[in-house]
Amino acid sequence: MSEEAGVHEHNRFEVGLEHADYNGDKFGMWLFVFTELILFGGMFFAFFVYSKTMYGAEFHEAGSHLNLFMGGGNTIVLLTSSLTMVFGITAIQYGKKYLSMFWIILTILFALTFMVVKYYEWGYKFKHHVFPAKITMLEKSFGVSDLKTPYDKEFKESGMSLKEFNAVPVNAAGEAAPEGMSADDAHDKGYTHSRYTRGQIIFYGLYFAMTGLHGFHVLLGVVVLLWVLSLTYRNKIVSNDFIIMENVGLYWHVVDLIWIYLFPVFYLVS
Amino acid sequence: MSTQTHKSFYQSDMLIFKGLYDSLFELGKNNWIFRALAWICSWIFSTDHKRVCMLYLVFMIIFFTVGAAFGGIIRLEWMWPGTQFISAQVYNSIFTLHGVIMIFMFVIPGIPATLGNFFLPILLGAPDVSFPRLNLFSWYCFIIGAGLAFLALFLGIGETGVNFMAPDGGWTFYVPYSVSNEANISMALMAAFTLGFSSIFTGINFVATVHRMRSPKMGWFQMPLFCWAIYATAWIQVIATPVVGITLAMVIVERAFGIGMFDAALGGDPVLYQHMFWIYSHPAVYIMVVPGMGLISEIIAVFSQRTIFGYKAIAMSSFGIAVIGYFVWAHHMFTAGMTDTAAITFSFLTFLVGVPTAIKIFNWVATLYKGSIKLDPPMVWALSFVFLFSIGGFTGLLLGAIAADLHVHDTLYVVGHFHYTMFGGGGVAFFAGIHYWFPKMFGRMYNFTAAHIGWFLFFIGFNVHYGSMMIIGIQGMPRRYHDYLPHFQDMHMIGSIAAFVMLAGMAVFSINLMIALFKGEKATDNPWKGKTLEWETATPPILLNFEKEPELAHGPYAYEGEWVK
Amino acid sequence: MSHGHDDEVHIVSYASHTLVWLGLLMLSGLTVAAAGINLGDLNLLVAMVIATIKGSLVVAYFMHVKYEKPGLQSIILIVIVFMFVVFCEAFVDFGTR
Repeated sequence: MSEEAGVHEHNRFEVGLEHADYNGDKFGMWLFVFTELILFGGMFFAFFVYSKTMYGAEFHEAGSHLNLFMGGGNTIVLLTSSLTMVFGITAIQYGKKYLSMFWIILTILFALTFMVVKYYEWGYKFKHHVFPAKITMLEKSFGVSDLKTPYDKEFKESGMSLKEFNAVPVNAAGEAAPEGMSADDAHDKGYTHSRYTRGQIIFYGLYFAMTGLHGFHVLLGVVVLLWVLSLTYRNKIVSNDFIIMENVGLYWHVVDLIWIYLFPVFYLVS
Repeated sequence: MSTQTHKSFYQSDMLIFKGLYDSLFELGKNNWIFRALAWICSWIFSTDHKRVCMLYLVFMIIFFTVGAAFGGIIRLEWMWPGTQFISAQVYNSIFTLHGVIMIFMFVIPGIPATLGNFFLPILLGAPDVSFPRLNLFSWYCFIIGAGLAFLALFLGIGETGVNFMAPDGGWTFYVPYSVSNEANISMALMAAFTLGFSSIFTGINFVATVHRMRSPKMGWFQMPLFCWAIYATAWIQVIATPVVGITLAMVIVERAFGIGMFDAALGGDPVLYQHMFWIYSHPAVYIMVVPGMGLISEIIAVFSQRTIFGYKAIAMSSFGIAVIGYFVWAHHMFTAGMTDTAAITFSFLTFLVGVPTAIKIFNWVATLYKGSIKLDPPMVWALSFVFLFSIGGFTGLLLGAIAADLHVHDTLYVVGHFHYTMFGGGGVAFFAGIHYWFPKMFGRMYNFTAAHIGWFLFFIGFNVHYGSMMIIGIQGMPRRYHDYLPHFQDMHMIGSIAAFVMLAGMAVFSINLMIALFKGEKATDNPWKGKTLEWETATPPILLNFEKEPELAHGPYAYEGEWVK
Repeated sequence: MSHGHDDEVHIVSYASHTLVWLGLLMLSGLTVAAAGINLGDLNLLVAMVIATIKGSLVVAYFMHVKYEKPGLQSIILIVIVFMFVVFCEAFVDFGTR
């Protein structure tokens, strides 16, 4: 790094700091990237603590209720959005302003697709009474959350496997459907809830927290990408000064990177 | 040294929203209100690192005073057993806020945000930091965070609507209490989160600045040691703060949404919270103290007119402390319910972290040897640092030994220990730095006699105050307790009186400095005969600090008998 | 606002990026397939290894690290490894319960 510091064709004390420092700006962005990685790293750490020490089996079982198709689909969406992002950078490096904007717009569209899929994924979970317990708005719309009360005692007493235990529907009061009742019958008669144990509740808690925080970063990314689009259109990002786009690209790749780990950890744990 | 072509830092035109300022300035030619507004804008929109320092400094002094007032209330309440002035609930909030304010709003921003901001670029021979606008934004985060903390005093969203309960439970916000109680915890945690951003952005700025903004001929090992200290601290700020960020965010999410990641009833592990919290908070104490150590290196060299002994060792030891400091956090948790294996591991590593610190102490003392020592105020503060921080360090050894810790954990002994290190270390270094660089920052010199008196009162009061705590701590006086057994009363009374002597000392030297601001003798460019670059700038420094690249004719410690060029 | 360092800026071709993307897709497929095979405790490890390979591709090519200066490359590697080790140390407690 220090070799760069010596190369100044101008007096730093005359023109002030108008002179951009390409490598310095990139380095600063990488330092910020570190903070994002460690922020999510902390949650992954919590996940692995629970997974390894207490709830391996329960995480395994809870994970099987997540929609692999949607999760996998979103993985492809994000990976492709990373591709369009770097295409955007390559294009502007070649001076192709409108081509670059095209790729950035595609990146934004992929990001929005990701959020739409997430919306349906979460919506599906909400409809099945799986949502963070204290959100009164959701409680009003969907009924009491299944993540509110753990059923560890009943699970131990039942002697069933966890999969079987989860599969027995209960009603809002916690009473199990009578044995022998068909699934459709039970559903009609109000036995629409499931019973989860503590480990499964933690799994879903981490799921919503981590994918939620990630989704928030995707949305932030969309906003920042729109800003980059505007700058490119106004020729503030050009072939010999595109560090802003490159740095936003770095941010976007971090968002992609986090999903690369989120996907197997939640969707493939079973 | 200054010329008329460049403006001093009292007139800055490195502004964001420059158009707004210009309009206000124009309007202000005939109208004092607009003139005042223009003046305010010239400060709160300034990206000049020297002005950002002042912005931080003014508010941190205010916050320190509030925090100290809370400390004073605690000491008043402790003068006799039983309830004197405040109920137990209020007491719990008072010590919580004392901790939150002192730690997050004073010591952690501390030297980096003030003296670091002002002098890092100058010591490197640079016109400013790498990202001046980010620097100003750091300050905005700081002010917003402080505002949220202030709001948390009496405004929160509880389950029954708006809440009026100041946060309690201690600055460490341990679960399960912090996720289940009625007080305005979420607001306080959001404040801490925002303050964390301030710290992170400052860290990013300083790491980049040291890498990119050095004078062309200044290599890594020609930098002053203060810069090394700021650099190591900046890395801790960047790498450690996100961990507490996510931890506090998880608590907020648990309170707001019921996602029970730390709630044992829902399957969570409260000890996990403690691990995550301390993975940041232990490196955080090095954020508090390492910059101070850098300052002490500078001051001791200047006031003995000797080259610092073992430059490379001191530079590297800052990193040694930073690195090892990441691996010792669970010594705060020996009684929390960890396994013995964990406890032994962390205890062992904790003893290791004393080694790089000892290197510094040895080297400082060696620097004094055969030096031409002047006991001007900066030097007495610096020597106090060495003494007080050493006591802090030694008392830490007892805490690092598991068997002994079991006896003193959560007693006033711990409180004494961390005040010796954070206040006697970090705080005293800050006072030293203010006295050292006051003439350069403000162009005035202060009265030495008053400064020495202030120091003396502080030093005596400090030692009796926190020494008394350690004594009754070992005798069993718990921390965070509103009331106590009668046989502790004598020591509490002595400690409280000593605390007020200490506060009086601080008042004396503060007033001395404030008077000097307006009435002090004009300072020369280099009153202490230092060899680092700030003594070659104008007093106070001009905008962009230098007129052209400074000629590095000699190294930062080029005194007689120099070992480092 | 130009800077004189253009010549060092290395432009990565569309072709190179596309190849990396295809690699990422294949690895994603691989990780889904591997999850279907019951390897017991190894499943998580395999998934994490594949994720790290994918992540390394993103970091090296999309984030341009392969073409950066050795100084920056070292810092990135050190920081990631360092925090990983710090978090692992917590398992000295959790792993011995």
